[in-house]
Amino acid sequence: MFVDIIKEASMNSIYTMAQIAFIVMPIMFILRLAKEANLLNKISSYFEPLTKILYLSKEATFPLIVGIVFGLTYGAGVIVQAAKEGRLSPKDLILINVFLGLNHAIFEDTFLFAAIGANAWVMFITRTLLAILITYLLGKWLTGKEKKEMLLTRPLA
Amino acid sequence: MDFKRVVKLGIKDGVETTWELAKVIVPVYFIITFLKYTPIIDWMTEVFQPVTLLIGLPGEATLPIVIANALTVYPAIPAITALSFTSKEITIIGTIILLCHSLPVETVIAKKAGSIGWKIIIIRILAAILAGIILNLMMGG
Repeated sequence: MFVDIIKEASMNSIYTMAQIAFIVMPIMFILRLAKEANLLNKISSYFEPLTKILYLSKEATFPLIVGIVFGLTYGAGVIVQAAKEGRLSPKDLILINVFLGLNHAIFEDTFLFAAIGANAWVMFITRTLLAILITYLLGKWLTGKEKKEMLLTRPLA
Repeated sequence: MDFKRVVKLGIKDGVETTWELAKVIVPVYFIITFLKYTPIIDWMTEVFQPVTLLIGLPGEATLPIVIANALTVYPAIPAITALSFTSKEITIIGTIILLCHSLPVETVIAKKAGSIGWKIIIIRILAAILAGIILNLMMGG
């Protein structure tokens, strides 16, 4: 039995790792190219209609797109920087955090599950639509009720 | 932009991420495969099935979902492949985990970015449950 476990686990982990490497390596490569070329700086203005729907200011577009593409850690850095420069309102801060909490690092994480047999489109569309819907409803609820912003934000350290 | 340097960095990123994944996936694979030979997985199935059936999943799907939330996304991968799930089930588990994962780490990040961590957690958990219910209804079979 012990031999079976070792055999099964080694064979399967090698197989799983090969599947994952095949997909993750090119994605990390492309993400690095995008980062070094400052691609998001150049394209973030195209996403302003989306940020407008979500009750966000124009300045929130860049932190939002960075988090969606590169992930939460990197996105948080951009959020903190923008907030310190005074470019984000408390409402921006809440809504970006809620949206990115639900929907970040979309390429890396989505393809990781696709590599082991999940449907990437179904996951991507469900996750994105839910993030948009929840952020929209929260933004609508917060509009004109500035006091309620205190319910979700805390002062930046 | 120094193209050669960027290509090098890109390859480094790809190899490093794959290595980080391997360091987590291989040991967890051994643990889960071992668990399969114990009654623990059957026991999980029995206990959690009444709840997980609402989101179209067998009881043992609890294992990758709990792992992804308590730890990170990476160790959930071998927990999915070592147990046998259908493509529909992996898609639902994947969507749930994508919406809600790595809670200890990501709550700290959310706090740093100016939000109240536990409220973000509640929003994420509710969104994940909602996604499971919707996908179970929509994907059929």
